[in-house]
Amino acid sequence: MHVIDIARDFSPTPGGRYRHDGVWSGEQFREDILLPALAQHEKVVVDLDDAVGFTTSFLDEVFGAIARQLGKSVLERVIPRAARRPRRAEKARQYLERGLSK
Amino acid sequence: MRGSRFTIRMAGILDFGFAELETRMKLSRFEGIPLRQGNRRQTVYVRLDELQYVDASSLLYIVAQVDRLSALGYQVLGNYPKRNPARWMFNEADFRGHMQGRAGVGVTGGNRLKITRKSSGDQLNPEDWLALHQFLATRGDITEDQQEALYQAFGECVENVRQHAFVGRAPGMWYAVAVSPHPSGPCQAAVVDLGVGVPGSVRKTNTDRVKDAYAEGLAFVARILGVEELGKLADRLRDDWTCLFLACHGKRTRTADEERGTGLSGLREVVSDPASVSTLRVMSGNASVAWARTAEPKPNRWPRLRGTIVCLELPPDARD
Repeated sequence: MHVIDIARDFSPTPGGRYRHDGVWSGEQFREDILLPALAQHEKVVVDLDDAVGFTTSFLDEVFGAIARQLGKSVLERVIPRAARRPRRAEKARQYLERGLSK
Repeated sequence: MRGSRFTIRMAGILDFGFAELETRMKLSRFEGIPLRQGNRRQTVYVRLDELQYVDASSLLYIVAQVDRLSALGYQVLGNYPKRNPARWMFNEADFRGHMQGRAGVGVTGGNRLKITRKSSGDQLNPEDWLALHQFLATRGDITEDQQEALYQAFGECVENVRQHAFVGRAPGMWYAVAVSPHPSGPCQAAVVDLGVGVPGSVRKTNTDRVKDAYAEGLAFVARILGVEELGKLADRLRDDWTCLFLACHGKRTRTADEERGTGLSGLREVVSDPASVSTLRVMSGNASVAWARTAEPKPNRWPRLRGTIVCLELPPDARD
């Protein structure tokens, strides 16, 4: 199981939705970090704890879009984690499920 | 060749929360400056020496108006308030730098006041509103979840301003500020632009939003709007207050992306929580809506402001 710590491996201050919106976007994280990790590992844990915070646009562009891309298998392959801030992980899971329903 | 000089005098208090009418009337003096004509040197002098208190929104609005007048070709001069806390606020915001046209784009300010000045054509940097997180983190009276929700929703508001404030126009400047005058003082955060205000597209989509609200049985929307028949809604949808109210409620059209435009409604949800201590105030055109945990806003009509102001305020920390 591979672990991506967003604050350490991407940015402690994640940004908006698309690359053209600005730096550290959800699209940038999904394309440059998450998808390459999924190409190499069956399961990827995304640790959300140490980042300052997330806009809903960022979360939707990461978790909603990856769910639309991978389909149902995403629930087993992408695992949001936030031990100290469980609501972050809960919210990310909501975006995964919402992405599947679209 | 002789030039002409206009003077704008600000005295007393500028505080939307405490004296909105007075504050709007004073700030609307900037709109009385005529368009610059000819090549004569023309100066606007902003007199602030008798100003005693200024809130974050008013500070940013003055900074934005100074930029606007400078862009129109005026030489903008002025003085500083003699008294604190107004003097402290203008000092921290480097108001002289704005008047002299040397204010940089990006984040500036001191430890307790951070001001962001950017063009709507610029890309976003999450650090543009990081100061709010830093101030929220020092508060003992709001939970980590509330801090995070406020920070998230404020970020959405910044993104919305960048995308929508100047729609249909050339890019303009937008401003964000986070200020915490002292550790146990009130914390204010505001986003200000002098853009289009409530855009026509919002007024149009509100028709569907209101119909949806009725379909969902949200009787309070109808009650607060004072509208009994759907056919009469079109009249109300030209109204700034109605548009602001619905934007804060996040009523959406059936076709709109669920995740778009959640900034205002996200902030409203946090401040409406029974455990919340914060207040949200949104002002545009001739209207304002204020949300806190206790009450729904009432319709109002004020002297018109240019653009839109979104302000979040937390009272002094109850622990101290």
